[in-house]
Amino acid sequence: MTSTTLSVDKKIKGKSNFASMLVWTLRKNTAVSVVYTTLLFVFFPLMVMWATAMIIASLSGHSSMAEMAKELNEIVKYGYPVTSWLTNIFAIIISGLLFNYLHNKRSVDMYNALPISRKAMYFSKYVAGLLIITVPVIVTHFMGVIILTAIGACAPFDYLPTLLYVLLSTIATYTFTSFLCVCSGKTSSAIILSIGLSCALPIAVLITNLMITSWVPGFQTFLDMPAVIYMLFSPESIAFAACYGYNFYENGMTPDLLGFTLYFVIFAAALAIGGYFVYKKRKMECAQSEASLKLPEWIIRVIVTYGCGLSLGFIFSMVFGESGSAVASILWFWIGVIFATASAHIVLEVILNKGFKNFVKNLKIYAVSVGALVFVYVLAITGLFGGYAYVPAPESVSQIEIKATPTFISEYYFGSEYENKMVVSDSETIGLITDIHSGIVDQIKQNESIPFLGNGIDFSDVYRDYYDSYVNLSPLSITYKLKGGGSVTRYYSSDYMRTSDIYGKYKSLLYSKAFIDSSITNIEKTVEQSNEPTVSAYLAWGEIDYEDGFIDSNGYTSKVAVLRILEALKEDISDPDKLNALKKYEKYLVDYYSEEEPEYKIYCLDIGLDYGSVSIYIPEDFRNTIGEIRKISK
Amino acid sequence: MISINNVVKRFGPVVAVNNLSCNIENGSVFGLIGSNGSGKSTLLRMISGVYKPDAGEILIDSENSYDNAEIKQKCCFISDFPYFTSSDTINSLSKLYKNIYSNWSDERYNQLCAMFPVSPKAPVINMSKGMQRQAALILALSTRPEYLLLDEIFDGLDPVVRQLLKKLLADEIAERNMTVIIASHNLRELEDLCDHIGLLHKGGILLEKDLDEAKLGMHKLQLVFDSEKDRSFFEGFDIMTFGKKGRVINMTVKGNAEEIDRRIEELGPIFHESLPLTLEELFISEMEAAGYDINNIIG
Repeated sequence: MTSTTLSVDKKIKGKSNFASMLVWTLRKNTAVSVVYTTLLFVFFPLMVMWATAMIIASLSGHSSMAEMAKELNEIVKYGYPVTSWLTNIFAIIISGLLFNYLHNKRSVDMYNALPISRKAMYFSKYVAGLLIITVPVIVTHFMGVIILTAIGACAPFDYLPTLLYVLLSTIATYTFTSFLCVCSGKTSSAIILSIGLSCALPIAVLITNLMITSWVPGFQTFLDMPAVIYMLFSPESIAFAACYGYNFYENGMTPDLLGFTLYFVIFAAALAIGGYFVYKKRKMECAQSEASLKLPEWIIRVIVTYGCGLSLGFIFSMVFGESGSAVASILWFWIGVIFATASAHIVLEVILNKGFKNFVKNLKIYAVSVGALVFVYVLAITGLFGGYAYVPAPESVSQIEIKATPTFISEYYFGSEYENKMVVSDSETIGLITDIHSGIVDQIKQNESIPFLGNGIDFSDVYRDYYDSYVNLSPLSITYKLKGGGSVTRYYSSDYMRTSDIYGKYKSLLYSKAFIDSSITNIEKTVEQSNEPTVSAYLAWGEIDYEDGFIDSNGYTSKVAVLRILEALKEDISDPDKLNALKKYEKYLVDYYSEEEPEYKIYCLDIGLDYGSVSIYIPEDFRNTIGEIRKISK
Repeated sequence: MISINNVVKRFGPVVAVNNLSCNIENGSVFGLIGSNGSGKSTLLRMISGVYKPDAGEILIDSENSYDNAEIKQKCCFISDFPYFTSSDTINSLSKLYKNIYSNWSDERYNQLCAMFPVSPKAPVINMSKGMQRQAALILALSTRPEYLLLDEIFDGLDPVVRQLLKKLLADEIAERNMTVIIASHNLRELEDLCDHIGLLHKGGILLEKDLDEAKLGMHKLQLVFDSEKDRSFFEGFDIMTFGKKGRVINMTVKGNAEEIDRRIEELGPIFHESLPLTLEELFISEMEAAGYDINNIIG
């Protein structure tokens, strides 16, 4: 027999052994597969059948089947991703069941003495698990969708994205836990580490962000951080993030969602392949004792200990350190950190190592966790080592994206549908913006204590700059695109623009024709994207003239009418005198509670959007705009 | 043939197998004996490809056995505690083995099921220790292995089944030239079965010989002299163990039987008898010689 024939024979035998072990594993896990499939069936097709039966039973003259089907569709659209909780729980259970044999000395003897290569053994187990967790999801999905399609609630492939994200989430969780099983000496350790990391990482990232955002002026890391960072090792949340956080059904495949999706596809693939290499090198004598590959366990323990320390430090600082004393705040923060990190370390040590035999040896893990906490703390109190004061030189800036709202516009929104931003690249405006920025930094240096220890951690600080509740003065967000590459973003609340010097410059920026034009154009775009925009107008300041008619114009629904009013507003703005008139009335808008009455009437135009509204204050001499508003008034 | 060359296996700070080398010829029954923790089971696990040696190599038919599915096709390993899940029956496991082992024989499987008094349809986990071993044996022998590795296989087997096992192994060796390696503390059974022995101690091999040769090279002597003699009287003999009760002396001596008899006669004993050594006596003698303090252990 030639060597080529032998090699082909080996391959064929290898494949057949892979298939034999795959079939054997599937057969051995029939019971758990049946339970899983039954639960999925109850969660989706059976619920849809039940809801459909209820609809048919409750149909009356007031509602048609089509209307009810539409209602059902809305419920399913947002309810269906919830099944990923179930699929993820089973993904963890099934990976534990399939790789449990690596953690028992007897089963290690049996499986590893079989004439199956490690490659075939690993992939037969891995693929068996994939089939067990995905096939029931796909089958029950299409059963439910067939019913929904039959009653006209949706098209056959409407829920395909949800299915794909539920599958991605489930596969990533399964692969992640399987990887940890291959690395660990005990199944319980792998499962605890998988769940521990999924919970601890988002909390650790969230509170780190919160601390920096609360303490360091100009930084809104909470808002800047892509969601994927929170979920780096939390595949359990993929389905929810994709279907709710990224609002797939509203926005489709956005670049953010694409990046997030690609990350988790690569994450799952890399861990599946990485798992094989760890499996190949795995010392089988690790069963029932220590981890075969300790690095993942160490990393997860550091993150969990860090997350626990930061959380309790944060809670203690908020609950006990609210006396306004910086010392109390700091003290309670560190008491919380030390108590929580020590507890977390001891609990993990006892669970993972069944006692304290490696306690001293593993103190290095504790030291790294506390070291990371100290580093983040120092980072926050020093304003990112002085980075808060950095203002790019105007000549190094190629472009600035500025987000702010002129005072005569107020937004109240719950989503991100309206965002007033403008991109500037002319050197004059760039110079003006860097001037404003430098003025703000100077003010911070003069007025705030550095290191930034003063106020403890306050969750409300996160949104402080975006929801200024009592002063109608817009916050400012500046993103510099630097000529040498890279970008710098800073956020400042209206509090930082109180001095007349800074505010004068800020006002000249906000009331430039270019900026106001851009603001109105942004509103137009938002209105165009909105499903059913409404418009209302009323007199905000001045004597009510009952023949005016504006007070009756509430809730008029017409996209065309709203766009016509905005077009008229643009025309009015193009007149420099009227632009100056806006500046004249601005003081009433900034100080809403001023007792001083304006000399002229100011009208308010409310535009209702899908998830909020935009209010525009219009002086009476904006004749074009007011003329358009009158057309919709009764 | 199995060639074990300078194999080392460590478990943390513990050296379980230390630079061990030996060869096991095809068609032989090789008994692995040794004290607890001497590395017998570890060596079997390395031969069967469960563990990877930290150093050295184990070659089966000139090929490394670790992660080598083709070589493993020729081997079957029954560990000291065979593994069965709660749903496993002999019949269900036979389906797995049948698909995986290319030499699987249905005919042999049915014969063995008829021979051993265990039900192939019953869950193995509910069976007694001895019956679980019988189940493992049925499956292992049905794969028609060239190399059968057995760890403490006699443990829990009743005398009838032991005889049956010995007969089956003898038949397989005669028919197919199968090689058997048995690690066991049951030296009586090994003595009947093995043609070679390997005596392990602290991870190393103290003795690796043909069993008859090993026994012939060591002699148990009972001597009576007209006066009390101590050990120094027997200077020049390779004494493994020595004991005396008054004028009666019992000792184990290494060397050629005729030469030893001749020299003893020259010392003028009143009574002189040379007795055959059992494997157990051989084991104890070698272990004592290696510093294994048996008297201290027995107390």
